[in-house]
Amino acid sequence: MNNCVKQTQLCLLIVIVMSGGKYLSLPGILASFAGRDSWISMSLLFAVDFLCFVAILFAMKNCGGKSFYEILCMTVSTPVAKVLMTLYALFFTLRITGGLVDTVDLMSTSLSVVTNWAAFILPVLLVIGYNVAKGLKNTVRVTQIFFVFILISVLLIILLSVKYTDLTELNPFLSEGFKPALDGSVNMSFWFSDCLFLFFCFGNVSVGKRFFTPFIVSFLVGAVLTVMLEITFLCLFGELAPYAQNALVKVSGFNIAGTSYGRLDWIFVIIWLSSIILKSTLYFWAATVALDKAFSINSNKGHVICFAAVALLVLVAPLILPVQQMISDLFILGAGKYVTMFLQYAVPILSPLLVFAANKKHGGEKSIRRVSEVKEQ
Amino acid sequence: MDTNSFLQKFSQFFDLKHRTLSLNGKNVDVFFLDTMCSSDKVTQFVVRPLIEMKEPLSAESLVEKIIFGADCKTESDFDKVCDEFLDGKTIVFVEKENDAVIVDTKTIEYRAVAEPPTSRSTKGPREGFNENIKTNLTLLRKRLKTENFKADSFTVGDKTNTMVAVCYIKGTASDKIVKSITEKIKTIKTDGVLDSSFVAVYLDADKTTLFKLVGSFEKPDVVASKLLEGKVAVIVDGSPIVLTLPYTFLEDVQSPDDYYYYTPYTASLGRVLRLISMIIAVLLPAVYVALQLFHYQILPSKFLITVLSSVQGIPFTPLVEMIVVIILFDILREANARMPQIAGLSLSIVGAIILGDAAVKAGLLGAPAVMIGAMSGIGLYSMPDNTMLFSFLRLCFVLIGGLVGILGILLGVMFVVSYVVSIDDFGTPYLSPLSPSVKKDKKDAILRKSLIDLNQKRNADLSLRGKETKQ
Amino acid sequence: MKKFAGKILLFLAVCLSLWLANSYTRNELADRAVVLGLAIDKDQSGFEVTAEVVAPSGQDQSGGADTKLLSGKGKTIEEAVGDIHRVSGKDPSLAQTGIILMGEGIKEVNVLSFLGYFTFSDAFKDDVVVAFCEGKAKDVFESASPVEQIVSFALQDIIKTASDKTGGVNNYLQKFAENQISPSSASYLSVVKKKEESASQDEKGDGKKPSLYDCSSVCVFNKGQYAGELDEMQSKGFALLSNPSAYASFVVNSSSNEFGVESEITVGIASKKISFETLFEDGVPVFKVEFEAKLKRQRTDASGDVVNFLPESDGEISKDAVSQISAETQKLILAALNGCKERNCDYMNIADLFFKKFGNSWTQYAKNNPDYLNKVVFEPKIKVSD
Repeated sequence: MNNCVKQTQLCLLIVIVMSGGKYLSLPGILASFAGRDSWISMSLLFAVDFLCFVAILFAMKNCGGKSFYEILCMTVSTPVAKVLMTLYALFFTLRITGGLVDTVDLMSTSLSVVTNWAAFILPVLLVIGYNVAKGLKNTVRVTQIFFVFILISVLLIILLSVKYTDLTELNPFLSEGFKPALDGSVNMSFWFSDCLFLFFCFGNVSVGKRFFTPFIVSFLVGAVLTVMLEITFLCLFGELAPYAQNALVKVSGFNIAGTSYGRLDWIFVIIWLSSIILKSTLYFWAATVALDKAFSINSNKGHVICFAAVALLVLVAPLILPVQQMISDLFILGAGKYVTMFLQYAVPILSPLLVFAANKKHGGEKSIRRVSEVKEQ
Repeated sequence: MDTNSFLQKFSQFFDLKHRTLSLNGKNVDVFFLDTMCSSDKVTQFVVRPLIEMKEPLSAESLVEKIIFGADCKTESDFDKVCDEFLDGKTIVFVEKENDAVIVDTKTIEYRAVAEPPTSRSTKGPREGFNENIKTNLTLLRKRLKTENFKADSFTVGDKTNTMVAVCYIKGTASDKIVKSITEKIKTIKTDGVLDSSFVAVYLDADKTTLFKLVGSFEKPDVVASKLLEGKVAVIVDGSPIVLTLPYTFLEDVQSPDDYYYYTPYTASLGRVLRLISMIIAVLLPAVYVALQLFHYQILPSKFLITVLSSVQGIPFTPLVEMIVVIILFDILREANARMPQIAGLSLSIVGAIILGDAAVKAGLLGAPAVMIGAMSGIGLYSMPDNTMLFSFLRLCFVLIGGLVGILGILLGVMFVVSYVVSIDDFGTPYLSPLSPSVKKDKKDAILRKSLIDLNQKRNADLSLRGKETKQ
Repeated sequence: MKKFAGKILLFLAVCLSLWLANSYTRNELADRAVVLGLAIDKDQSGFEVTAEVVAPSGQDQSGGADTKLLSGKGKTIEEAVGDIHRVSGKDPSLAQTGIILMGEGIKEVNVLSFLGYFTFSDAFKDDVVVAFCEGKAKDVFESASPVEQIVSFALQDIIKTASDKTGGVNNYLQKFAENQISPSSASYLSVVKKKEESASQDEKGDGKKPSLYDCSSVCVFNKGQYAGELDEMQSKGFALLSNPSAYASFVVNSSSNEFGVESEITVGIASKKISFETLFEDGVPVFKVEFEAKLKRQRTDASGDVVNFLPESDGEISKDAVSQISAETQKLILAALNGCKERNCDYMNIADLFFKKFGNSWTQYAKNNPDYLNKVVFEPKIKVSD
């Protein structure tokens, strides 16, 4: 696996990852918690994500060429590091499974593609498996190709529907106070924190002249796009928002002015679907790397086994368990969300301190490679 | 050297000519192949000076003082002497001398330098390579009058002894790539190399790849520009196609007219159109089939009514119908490539009428399917180097679209893109400068900047020419 | 083993393809009855749904498209649509439906009882045109338009033109459904009325007599229940206030037209600006309407369009005409507003606007004053100029 990437490639990946998967059932579910203030819930979540994101960047900049796993081993001890890696692997696997199950729903209810889970997931796993085998480098290159198309699709879906929107539908602002918005944020936090994969990029990123600015800009672009879609959705549907299953298809339905134009908007939706595949690929890669570290695997055969384990879990889980229900009961309404919050928020916030401690223990040099210092493989 | 063994080896050759001269008490045997040498040259440059000579006879003295031929040397290895003889050289044996004298009197008929049929230019140069390696090298040398233009020659093919020249501009091309190419050429073990495509197989970095990784061009101006960009050219004797490495996907999008004829804006538009037509050619039939079988809701109502009307009564399913159309068009294309010119026009018309008109009127095929198949077939030629590959991909996508729908097409496209971005040709990513993004190279990728900017780019970025990237 | 790797891979690829082929349920166009429009009628036995489906005649390239009407009956809409499937043998496809026309029988039913079938289905686009008609909706579908062969397309054109150009209204599915569950709990629909059939028009070959439709009337629904049809003034006033792109035209007496002759002229609203303001004054809800309009003399423009206006020329419309129009506009707007009180139906979305501004305090007020419509004070402010 070749995991060396450039900063610009990672920035594009961040935008795609943030917009992939959040346009399906999430807006509707958020609206059921917070009503017209669901966009505030979303903004709040992004604000917290931003703080964690900056913390991770700080850690990445100062990691001294060490991987995140090595830093954890140096600071919190190896067994704890292994446990954390396993938890992250499970977290990513759950996110992948939940996202893909949502995608199958989208396809069957909105795009009239009726199939069983295995028939859907196997071709997807083929694409994901190939990219994971080639390493993160391949995934970011694919992202570079698809980025423009995905961005244009999302922008067209939002902007072409704008003429039907009524911004007054967002009123009254916080009519029932801040609590519903906060409830929405706390309950739906499972679907955020998209940038945790950066933990597995430590030491493998070559950057340009500036370190923070491009990353922050890409995060903001991703956040703004998602919030814009949420606002468009609320302004279009108002009271009906909580009942909409697939927000993106609902919003895109307003794209075409006259109903005699068919559902050409589905083409934009399908192009956007590639962002879900890319996001799943990225999380698969992160889960595989996390498992590699958890079980101290260094050989290619071992990588394959780890990938196969994750793939098997993703393939089999929805066949025997009601995944969406489980996620809803455990991680949205249940206590499981506090465990994931620890992984999503506590660890990232603490990561700069961990890096600082690791550097102090073992001494660290500047880890960020400039473009001119390409690492020889 | 033993003249009798030489005579014994080649006595069956009907075109063997042998002249024995008795000079200063020694026998001198002159051998040449009538079909490959000019008798006049042999007489004037070899026989006459021999007869007129007054010097003591030895192989060295023949080379240094007697024989008139410009390219003249001695050789002691019997096998090499035989190879040179088969190459069209005249061999002179002096009695009791260990070395034979080899004189270049080769006169072989070659095709004249003319515009190549496969790549025409509206306003640019009209010269094209031919089958003679020397002519081809001349065509390059006259464009690259610099001492840094190097041409290393090798011989490949046990029975053909074909000459191969590796050309590059020292200081511009990467030494690592040059070395890698020459190593690969040296390892070629085959009976015969009849064309550059034989050599291309050995140079292909990953032999399992669907996409070709070696560029092939027939025009010297194009090859010269590639050399200036830091690429390496491989000329093979007997082939008018010159190979260039490393090769990227976007080179097929570019055309010489983009530089000679078009402004930057029209050139950019042309390239974008070629890319779009390639995408349409590969994906449109698949999307059409997928829409009819899975997602007809996407079609606008009025278009849907038209499609419904046209497919009424067609005995095939949309998938089978499209496959039949594609195969028929491919058969027409293949037949057109091989049929004699005399019959070409009439057979083409018959084929077009049968496919375009009669089949639709008979109700065997739908008009939209035929139209889409035709559009796709024409669009394939916007990137001519990869026509067969795109045709194959088109068929695969049609099958995928017909079995799985538009999701399958999306996954197929993602798979193909993943595959393509993973290809590295001598360290150069196949889809660069798009992925990974190389900012300076993007000036002449799909959108082209003015020639002034591009030339400045060349001067400024010599250090990046031919360099591998790791991202 | 390595020798056979390629063959094994090929074999697996073929098996996978065959398995995938059978795992993806096809949705073939040729097996579906593509529905372009739905007519819903209700009688004592239940719902009758009539669908205008595409019925292509064959490989006719002349551009004509045949449609047929298929009817199904059932106790619910779902049953009625299923009945269409039974009688036709083809599964109806509602994804291309452009119009839902409800007949007079719907007056007896609460539309919220069946609206969910359409609203919560991803098959229906949310901007499907919804309209009401006099008599049976099926009869409307059985007649033909003189300019468009397909009735669904013809009706859509007429209703959209009515809302864009000729002073009517248009409502679409999502908006209609959303308004029913908003604080106002009321919505409106365009009413399709058949004009008298022209005697000079020949019967079309398919047995349908061409008809002309008028879509300038408006009917309202309160909490899903039919609440009546607005009269002409109320309809016109409602159209003035609700649809920003609709314009109205006024016939006024002019002392002098272009030729200096006294005549009636038609003046239209070229552009208008409407704003609503909601406030409480001494505990009384006040609904302020500010209506600003620019008037233009109606003439055919350079492109031959009859409903656009030539560029502005000052003084073309006399002050007398302007004041006539101003007065009439005032009357229309007040008629529309007071219509809410008359019918006890908040089709102007007054409660919605109050809720958006005051939030829960309005909810509380509305709870304590269910007859808030009677208490609301309307303050229209009209300003028209040329």
